[in-house]
Amino acid sequence: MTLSTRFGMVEYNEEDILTFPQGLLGLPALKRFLILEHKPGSPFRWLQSLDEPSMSLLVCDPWAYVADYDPQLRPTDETDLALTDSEARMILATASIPPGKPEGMTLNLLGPLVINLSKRIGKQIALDGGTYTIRHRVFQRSRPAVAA
Amino acid sequence: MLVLTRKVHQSIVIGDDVEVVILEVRGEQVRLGIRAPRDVAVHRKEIYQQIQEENRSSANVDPSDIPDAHLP
Repeated sequence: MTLSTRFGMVEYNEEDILTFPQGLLGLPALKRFLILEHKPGSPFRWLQSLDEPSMSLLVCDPWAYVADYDPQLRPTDETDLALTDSEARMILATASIPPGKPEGMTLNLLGPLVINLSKRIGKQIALDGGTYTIRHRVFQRSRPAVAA
Repeated sequence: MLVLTRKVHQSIVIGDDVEVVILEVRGEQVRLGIRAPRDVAVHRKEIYQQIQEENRSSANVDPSDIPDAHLP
Protein backbone atom coordinates (compact mmCIF):
# COMPACT_ATOMS: atom_id res chain seq x y z
CA MET A 1 0.00 0.00 0.00
CA THR A 2 1.16 3.56 -0.54
CA LEU A 3 0.38 6.79 1.26
CA SER A 4 1.03 10.31 0.03
CA THR A 5 2.62 12.27 2.92
CA ARG A 6 4.36 15.62 3.30
CA PHE A 7 7.59 13.69 2.72
CA GLY A 8 6.37 12.08 -0.50
CA MET A 9 5.00 8.63 -1.17
CA VAL A 10 5.47 6.04 1.56
CA GLU A 11 5.13 2.29 1.07
CA TYR A 12 3.72 0.28 3.95
CA ASN A 13 2.17 -3.04 4.85
CA GLU A 14 -0.89 -3.81 6.94
CA GLU A 15 1.32 -5.09 9.76
CA ASP A 16 3.18 -1.77 9.98
CA ILE A 17 0.04 0.01 11.20
CA LEU A 18 -0.12 1.15 14.82
CA THR A 19 -3.62 1.68 16.20
CA PHE A 20 -4.42 4.19 18.94
CA PRO A 21 -8.01 3.14 19.73
CA GLN A 22 -8.74 6.44 21.54
CA GLY A 23 -6.82 8.61 19.09
CA LEU A 24 -4.36 11.22 20.30
CA LEU A 25 -5.28 13.62 23.10
CA GLY A 26 -7.29 16.43 21.54
CA LEU A 27 -7.10 14.73 18.14
CA PRO A 28 -9.42 11.75 18.62
CA ALA A 29 -9.90 11.15 14.89
CA LEU A 30 -6.21 10.26 14.46
CA LYS A 31 -6.19 6.56 15.28
CA ARG A 32 -3.93 4.80 12.78
CA PHE A 33 -0.26 5.59 12.28
CA LEU A 34 3.00 4.50 10.77
CA ILE A 35 6.36 5.16 12.37
CA LEU A 36 8.80 6.59 9.83
CA GLU A 37 12.52 7.01 10.36
CA HIS A 38 14.01 10.48 10.32
CA LYS A 39 17.61 9.39 9.74
CA PRO A 40 19.25 6.06 10.56
CA GLY A 41 20.41 6.13 14.18
CA SER A 42 18.48 9.29 15.03
CA PRO A 43 16.31 9.33 18.17
CA PHE A 44 13.70 11.19 16.09
CA ARG A 45 10.90 9.56 14.15
CA TRP A 46 7.72 10.68 12.48
CA LEU A 47 4.38 9.44 13.71
CA GLN A 48 2.63 9.52 10.37
CA SER A 49 -1.18 9.60 10.47
CA LEU A 50 -2.98 7.31 8.04
CA ASP A 51 -6.29 9.01 8.80
CA GLU A 52 -5.01 12.46 7.90
CA PRO A 53 -1.92 12.04 5.70
CA SER A 54 -0.87 15.69 6.07
CA MET A 55 -0.29 15.07 9.80
CA SER A 56 3.20 13.81 10.63
CA LEU A 57 4.08 14.38 14.27
CA LEU A 58 7.74 14.65 15.18
CA VAL A 59 8.43 12.23 18.02
CA CYS A 60 11.61 11.44 19.91
CA ASP A 61 13.04 8.78 22.19
CA PRO A 62 12.83 10.83 25.40
CA TRP A 63 15.82 9.04 26.96
CA ALA A 64 18.09 10.45 24.26
CA TYR A 65 17.76 13.80 26.05
CA VAL A 66 16.38 13.04 29.52
CA ALA A 67 18.29 10.03 30.81
CA ASP A 68 16.33 9.79 34.07
CA TYR A 69 12.86 10.08 32.54
CA ASP A 70 10.60 7.75 34.52
CA PRO A 71 6.95 7.92 33.43
CA GLN A 72 4.65 6.03 35.79
CA LEU A 73 1.81 4.35 33.94
CA ARG A 74 -1.49 3.78 35.71
CA PRO A 75 -2.73 0.18 35.86
CA THR A 76 -5.64 1.22 33.61
CA ASP A 77 -3.20 2.39 30.94
CA GLU A 78 -1.38 -0.95 31.06
CA THR A 79 -4.72 -2.74 30.75
CA ASP A 80 -5.77 -0.57 27.79
CA LEU A 81 -2.49 -1.40 26.07
CA ALA A 82 -2.58 -5.09 27.07
CA LEU A 83 0.91 -4.50 28.46
CA THR A 84 2.45 -7.20 30.60
CA ASP A 85 6.04 -7.28 31.82
CA SER A 86 7.03 -9.42 28.88
CA GLU A 87 5.48 -7.23 26.17
CA ALA A 88 7.85 -5.02 24.25
CA ARG A 89 6.91 -1.41 24.86
CA MET A 90 8.09 1.79 23.27
CA ILE A 91 7.64 5.24 24.76
CA LEU A 92 7.93 8.35 22.61
CA ALA A 93 7.50 12.05 23.31
CA THR A 94 6.26 14.57 20.78
CA ALA A 95 8.90 17.18 19.94
CA SER A 96 8.27 20.79 18.95
CA ILE A 97 10.89 23.01 17.35
CA PRO A 98 10.32 26.72 16.65
CA PRO A 99 11.08 27.41 12.97
CA GLY A 100 14.83 27.90 12.49
CA LYS A 101 15.56 27.49 16.22
CA PRO A 102 16.55 23.90 17.01
CA GLU A 103 17.97 25.12 20.34
CA GLY A 104 14.40 25.95 21.40
CA MET A 105 13.23 22.36 21.00
CA THR A 106 10.82 21.07 23.64
CA LEU A 107 9.62 17.57 24.44
CA ASN A 108 6.18 16.80 25.85
CA LEU A 109 7.21 14.68 28.83
CA LEU A 110 3.79 14.96 30.49
CA GLY A 111 1.86 13.40 27.62
CA PRO A 112 3.98 10.54 26.24
CA LEU A 113 2.91 8.04 23.61
CA VAL A 114 3.07 4.48 24.92
CA ILE A 115 3.08 1.68 22.39
CA ASN A 116 2.73 -2.08 22.76
CA LEU A 117 5.03 -3.12 19.93
CA SER A 118 3.93 -6.73 19.67
CA LYS A 119 0.19 -5.95 19.60
CA ARG A 120 0.73 -2.73 17.60
CA ILE A 121 -1.52 -0.64 19.83
CA GLY A 122 -0.78 2.69 21.43
CA LYS A 123 -2.17 5.33 23.73
CA GLN A 124 -1.23 8.89 24.57
CA ILE A 125 -1.42 9.32 28.32
CA ALA A 126 -1.39 12.37 30.58
CA LEU A 127 0.84 11.50 33.54
CA ASP A 128 -0.25 12.23 37.09
CA GLY A 129 1.70 14.43 39.44
CA GLY A 130 3.88 17.45 38.95
CA THR A 131 7.15 15.84 37.87
CA TYR A 132 7.08 16.53 34.14
CA THR A 133 6.05 19.39 31.89
CA ILE A 134 4.40 19.61 28.49
CA ARG A 135 7.15 21.88 27.12
CA HIS A 136 10.39 20.54 28.54
CA ARG A 137 13.34 22.44 27.06
CA VAL A 138 16.09 19.98 26.35
CA PHE A 139 18.98 22.31 25.57
CA GLN A 140 19.45 23.82 28.98
CA ARG A 141 21.01 22.31 32.02
CA SER A 142 18.14 22.69 34.46
CA ARG A 143 15.88 20.07 35.96
CA PRO A 144 12.33 19.87 34.60
CA ALA A 145 10.25 22.66 36.09
CA VAL A 146 7.48 21.61 38.43
CA ALA A 147 4.11 21.66 36.69
CA ALA A 148 1.19 23.50 38.20
CA MET B 1 -24.73 25.80 31.06
CA LEU B 2 -26.56 23.90 33.76
CA VAL B 3 -25.66 25.28 37.19
CA LEU B 4 -26.19 23.20 40.33
CA THR B 5 -25.36 23.87 43.97
CA ARG B 6 -23.88 20.95 45.90
CA LYS B 7 -22.42 20.40 49.36
CA VAL B 8 -19.41 18.35 50.35
CA HIS B 9 -20.01 14.59 49.88
CA GLN B 10 -22.92 15.27 47.56
CA SER B 11 -22.55 14.35 43.93
CA ILE B 12 -24.00 14.69 40.48
CA VAL B 13 -24.63 11.91 38.01
CA ILE B 14 -24.06 12.41 34.29
CA GLY B 15 -25.81 9.87 32.09
CA ASP B 16 -25.99 6.36 33.50
CA ASP B 17 -22.42 5.78 34.50
CA VAL B 18 -20.52 8.97 35.35
CA GLU B 19 -20.59 10.36 38.88
CA VAL B 20 -18.79 13.47 40.14
CA VAL B 21 -18.48 13.75 43.94
CA ILE B 22 -17.53 16.93 45.82
CA LEU B 23 -14.88 15.64 48.23
CA GLU B 24 -13.56 18.78 49.85
CA VAL B 25 -13.82 22.55 49.59
CA ARG B 26 -10.94 24.55 50.98
CA GLY B 27 -10.77 28.24 50.11
CA GLU B 28 -10.48 28.49 46.33
CA GLN B 29 -9.80 24.80 45.82
CA VAL B 30 -12.37 22.10 45.27
CA ARG B 31 -11.44 18.41 45.27
CA LEU B 32 -13.59 16.27 43.04
CA GLY B 33 -13.88 12.52 42.79
CA ILE B 34 -14.92 11.12 39.45
CA ARG B 35 -16.34 7.67 38.84
CA ALA B 36 -16.53 6.83 35.16
CA PRO B 37 -16.13 3.81 32.88
CA ARG B 38 -12.57 3.20 31.69
CA ASP B 39 -13.31 4.28 28.14
CA VAL B 40 -14.35 7.75 29.33
CA ALA B 41 -11.19 9.84 29.41
CA VAL B 42 -11.06 12.43 32.19
CA HIS B 43 -8.49 15.22 32.02
CA ARG B 44 -7.82 18.60 33.56
CA LYS B 45 -8.94 20.94 30.80
CA GLU B 46 -5.79 23.05 30.60
CA ILE B 47 -3.59 19.94 30.40
CA TYR B 48 -5.78 18.45 27.69
CA GLN B 49 -5.64 21.68 25.65
CA GLN B 50 -1.90 22.09 26.02
CA ILE B 51 -1.21 18.50 24.96
CA GLN B 52 -3.51 19.03 21.97
CA GLU B 53 -1.51 22.17 21.06
CA GLU B 54 1.80 20.32 21.42
CA ASN B 55 0.52 17.50 19.21
CA ARG B 56 -0.35 20.01 16.50
CA SER B 57 2.90 21.88 16.96
CA SER B 58 4.96 18.68 16.58
CA ALA B 59 3.23 18.15 13.24
CA ASN B 60 4.52 21.49 11.96
CA VAL B 61 8.23 20.95 12.49
CA ASP B 62 10.46 21.54 9.49
CA PRO B 63 12.67 18.44 9.09
CA SER B 64 15.69 20.66 8.46
CA ASP B 65 15.37 22.03 12.03
CA ILE B 66 15.78 18.61 13.66
CA PRO B 67 19.04 18.44 15.61
CA ASP B 68 21.45 15.55 15.31
CA ALA B 69 21.40 13.20 18.26
CA HIS B 70 22.80 15.07 21.22
CA LEU B 71 23.34 13.23 24.45
CA PRO B 72 23.72 15.58 27.41
